Amino acid sequence: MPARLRRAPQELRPPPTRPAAWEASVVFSTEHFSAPAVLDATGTEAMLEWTELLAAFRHKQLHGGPLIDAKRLKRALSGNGVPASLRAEVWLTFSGASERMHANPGLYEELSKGVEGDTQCTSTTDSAGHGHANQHAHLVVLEQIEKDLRRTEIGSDGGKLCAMRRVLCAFASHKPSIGYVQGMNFIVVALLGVFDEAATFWMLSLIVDAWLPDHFSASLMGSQIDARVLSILTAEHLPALAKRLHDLDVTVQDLHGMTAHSSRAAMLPIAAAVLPSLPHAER
Amino acid sequence: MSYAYLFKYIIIGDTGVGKSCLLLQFTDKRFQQVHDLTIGVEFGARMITIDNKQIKLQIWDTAGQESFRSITRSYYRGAAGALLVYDITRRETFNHLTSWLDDARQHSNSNMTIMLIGNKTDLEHRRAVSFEEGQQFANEHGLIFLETSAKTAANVEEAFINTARRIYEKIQQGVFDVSNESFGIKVGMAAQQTGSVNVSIQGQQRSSSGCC
Repeated sequence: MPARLRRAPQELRPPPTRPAAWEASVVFSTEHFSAPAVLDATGTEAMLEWTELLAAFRHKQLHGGPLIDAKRLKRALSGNGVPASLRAEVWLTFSGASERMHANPGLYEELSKGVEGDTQCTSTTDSAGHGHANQHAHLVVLEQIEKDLRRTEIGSDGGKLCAMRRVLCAFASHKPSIGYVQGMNFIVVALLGVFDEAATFWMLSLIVDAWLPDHFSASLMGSQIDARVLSILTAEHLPALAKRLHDLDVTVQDLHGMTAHSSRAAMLPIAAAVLPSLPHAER
Repeated sequence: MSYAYLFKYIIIGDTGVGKSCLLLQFTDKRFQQVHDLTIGVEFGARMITIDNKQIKLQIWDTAGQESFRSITRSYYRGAAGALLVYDITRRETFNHLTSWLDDARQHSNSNMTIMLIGNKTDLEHRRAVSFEEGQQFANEHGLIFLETSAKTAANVEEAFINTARRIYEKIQQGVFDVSNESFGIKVGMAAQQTGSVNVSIQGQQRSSSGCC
């Protein structure tokens, strides 16, 4: 065959495309995903802007008034994100979790009071929670939480472990129909990095109850739908990844279980970055 | 890498019995004292050799918590083998075997090979279920049985490979329609010639894909 013809397919091949930065960070393995960092605004300008946005939002909550300018909010978010010192307040306020918290003053403290801790957090130990001990289901839940506390990779931070225990046990008492579903532990540990305990509890309640109710139901239908959508999107937008999975004999349907894994490490910071803009910005 | 067959496995059993640790020991030859809990399903793969044939084991590791049953159930149907694991130091994990087995039988194809595994033999001093009880349960329900330690690696290779050997024997006997992938078996490029029925393990080879 003439050399000219043999070269032809080479010349016709399109130039290799560079994957987008975030695309490159998605790696399926048993190791943790690398995830984009949460933006962290610094400087007085950002502080002023967010303080104003918070004030406007609270004013609207209390007295009514003009809608929050969604464009302005988005601009503030996409600029440098939320300043670290205001993050907890901004997220709580704009997510709607603070509304829940203020509608139920003292509830978290009441629920968490009876949670028994180990020696590291005996100060919170109280006998008030023993009424639940009779319920077998609740005991199973507490046992599972206890087992998972040590499997959440929080290192040797005893204080954080006790906080996790109190938040998870309080939530299981608060919503016995849901109880504890593995994965909540990872949500809680991420939230505790931003919020105090009570705020963490109310954020968890918002996420589980209001935002993702189908992800914690018996059928886990929400997760199953997510998996399906993700597999369709992967085939459409990340054909290289879809091909790699195919080469590994993993069918598209098998992406299923991995969504849980990916959401844990990769999606949380992404969710955190867009979280404040979700529920209220468009109202 | 080319293989003669691909077998899909599923690992099931209560939370904390060591399912993920067994998988990690088999695929990576290491043990993690504190292993992250499994949410939904994860997977690993390794190449083994049976009867001079390269066989790829693709192993789905499931979450043990009751809440995830609806998801793990969907993995039974496409599995050729199941490792049903309990913890020899926790009696309740042994007591729950019947419920796991019912679930597996109900949702899998009837020819799925099930290996019963009593894990954590390194904790002999805390043993709560005797070897004989495990063996008896296996006999009563037609399962293969082994006690393992994911920590010391004792019997871990055997657990995965004996299961593969049993599946391979069934293929040789014509039990499966191997063109039907719903049995959890896939014929690879390297399965042209028919091998002898006499199955022997020739040695193992790590998967070179490095993916898991």
